[in-house]
Amino acid sequence: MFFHIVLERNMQLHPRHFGRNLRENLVSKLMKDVEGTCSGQHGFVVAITGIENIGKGMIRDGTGFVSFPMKYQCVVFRPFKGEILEAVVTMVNKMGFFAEAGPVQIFVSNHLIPDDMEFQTGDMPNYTTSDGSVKIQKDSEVRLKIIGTRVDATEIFCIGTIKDDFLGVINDPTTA
Amino acid sequence: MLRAEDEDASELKLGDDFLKAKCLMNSEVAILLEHRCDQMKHMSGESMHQLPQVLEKSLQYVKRFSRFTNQGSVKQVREVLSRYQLAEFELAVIGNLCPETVEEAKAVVPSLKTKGRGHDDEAIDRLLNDLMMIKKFE
Amino acid sequence: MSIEPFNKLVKLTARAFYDDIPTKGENQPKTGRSDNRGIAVVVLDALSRRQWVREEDLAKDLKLHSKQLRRTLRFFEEEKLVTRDHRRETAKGAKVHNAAVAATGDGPPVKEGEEKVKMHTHSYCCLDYAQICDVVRYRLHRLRKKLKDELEDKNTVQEYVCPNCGKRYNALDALQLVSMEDEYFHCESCNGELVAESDKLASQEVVGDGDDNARRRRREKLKDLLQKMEVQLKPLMDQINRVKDLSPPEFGSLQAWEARASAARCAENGESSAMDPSKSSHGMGYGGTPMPFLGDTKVEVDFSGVEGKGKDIKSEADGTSLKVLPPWMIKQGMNLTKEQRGEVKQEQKMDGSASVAAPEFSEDKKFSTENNEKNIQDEYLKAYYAALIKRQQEEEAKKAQETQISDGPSAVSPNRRVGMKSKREDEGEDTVDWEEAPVTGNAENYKVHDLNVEADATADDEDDIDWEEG
Repeated sequence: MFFHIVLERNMQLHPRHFGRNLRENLVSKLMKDVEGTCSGQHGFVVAITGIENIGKGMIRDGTGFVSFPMKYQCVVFRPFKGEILEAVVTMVNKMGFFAEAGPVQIFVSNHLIPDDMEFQTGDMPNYTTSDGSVKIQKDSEVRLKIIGTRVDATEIFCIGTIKDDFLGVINDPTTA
Repeated sequence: MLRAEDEDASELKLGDDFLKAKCLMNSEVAILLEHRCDQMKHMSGESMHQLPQVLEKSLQYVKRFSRFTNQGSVKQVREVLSRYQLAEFELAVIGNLCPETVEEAKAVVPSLKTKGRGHDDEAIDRLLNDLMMIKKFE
Repeated sequence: MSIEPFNKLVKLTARAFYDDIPTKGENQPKTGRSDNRGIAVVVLDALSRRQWVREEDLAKDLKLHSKQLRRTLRFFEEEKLVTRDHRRETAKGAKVHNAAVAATGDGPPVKEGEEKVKMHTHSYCCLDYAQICDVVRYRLHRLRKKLKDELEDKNTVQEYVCPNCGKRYNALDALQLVSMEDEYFHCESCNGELVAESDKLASQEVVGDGDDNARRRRREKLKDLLQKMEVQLKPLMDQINRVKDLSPPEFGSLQAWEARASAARCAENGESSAMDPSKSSHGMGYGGTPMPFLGDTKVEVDFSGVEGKGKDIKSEADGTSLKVLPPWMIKQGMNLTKEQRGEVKQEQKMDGSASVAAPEFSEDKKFSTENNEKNIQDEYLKAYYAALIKRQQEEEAKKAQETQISDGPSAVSPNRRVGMKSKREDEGEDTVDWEEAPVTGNAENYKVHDLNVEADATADDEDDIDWEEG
């Protein structure tokens, strides 16, 4: 799920950036530092959309750097266990398939793919129902439910299922 | 803070940081990110060939899975859904997935079924109809 | 700080999870005679009455082959219940340990005259209570989660295992495991092809039809399993909750423990020479009074020890008639007296004082003896009166001592001696089983003063639980 939230950060700026463009320099440094990062708590920071306020700068002892507390609005993407979302299949193999929802990768293991879908190997490995009506392969769009997340410093990885009502393929690239 | 294993979006357990945070529908994110990309291109001029990866992937994703593209109708969707006492999270999931039946709505947003929240099937049905109308006239 | 709740936890754990663990090597023939399941429980129980103990000594005490004991201990080490330590030492070095053991009142006394300069590797072991709590809690959590997840058809996280090196992964590791060459997952360390673990408990038996019927049966089976677990493991779960906020006993490393034990011995040298626990335990291999430093000295008015004389395993039931039988014992001797079931116990325990309760106990004694074969009756009575006289003598001695010693542990220590002495009478006739009975009895008796109300209540709860299935 995407969220619009307000975060805070202390930005340290070298005195050479002071002057008329101080604010601009601070903001562009903030964007450079923060956008694209990922934390377990807040997920991926996709984009900064606005600055709420910049506090008074504090000179750091000994360095001359000045630290500014900044409050900013941003769009974050944070997957939750139990969340249902749509994703694009990126790879299919015998163990299941991988899909992507924005910056997040999701793995669906074969035991969480409906029992009536079987793996078919080949150039385009896929999972297909016995009557051939439903097929999951690279670039398929699926609706899945996240059942687990693993968070480390820079990455969030999810596992999902399509073995439930109203989950599964929403768009088959071969027929679209 | 909520431990990861206690999180469960189907019960709206999102932890303190996100419980009251504003959720965005993919269509809304698309608008925000497009804007941000324009800003970036503008700022860096010709030197900017590639967007940062997280931004790029997110933009691709929300463009692909936006149910509404017209800014006006995106606004309208939020307005309409806001009348139904939904949690932010529920609102965004419904806006993203646009379920077609009451049954489907309850499957993708299980928290709707929580007793005493006034979401009887009739109300959900009305909600879905409203959503369909916006889509139709987009 | 009391060790008792933790020992109860160990005992419950042993019976819940380890009572059918064979401690045989794989290659040995499995005949009915050599079926030694249950040894694991005996070993854990024995460890719960000791601190650090040399494994040879433990083997001797339990009349087990040291190899067999070692195998069991190795198993428990892997299970993270037991800490072990090995060191090369001379016979002299071993004495340091003996001295420490003597100081704690268990284990054999220092033996003189085996001065060998030869170095031997000796192994020591003790229970790791803190870790046991964690391990048991985790195990219960996993058990319940696995069943619940499957029951709710909650999508369990698929697990994978490497057939080569045994390393385990789960679906959350998928990204690292994927291979460009083929369509399988590969082990990070040895590149072996991972196998998905079929963790479905219920589907293993009900396979096939795949229709609604099968699904329904599967659910029923799971529900049944879950319910059984909740009922059968309830005592264990209660116990783990009970010890949650207590700090577990910590013995430290072998060296640290020995140093501490020796220091403690020096400190209480005066009185310990008076009662000399090491001497009274001579030939028993076991003194029945673990951890004096923890202030956990036990009151022991031990008629049961006398009663055990000349009897075989059956005497265990009688030996424990002084207390409410723990649930796991109840199935062993079905011929139980009321008080063994804990029905009459309450008021007796309320007496608290051992000497006041003695006449009542003697009634119990007679009553329970009648349930036994005639031929032991005479012996019993003889022994009983002998013990009674002995005890009266001890009582005198106790009174005399009490006038001198005023602090806590020493005030109760004479009672302990009563038990020891009466046991000494049985020297040479004791069996492994016999050895256990009085000790559990002591433990319960001790509780009379503080923990008993709660402990009794739970013991009653547990009565209807059928451990056989667990």
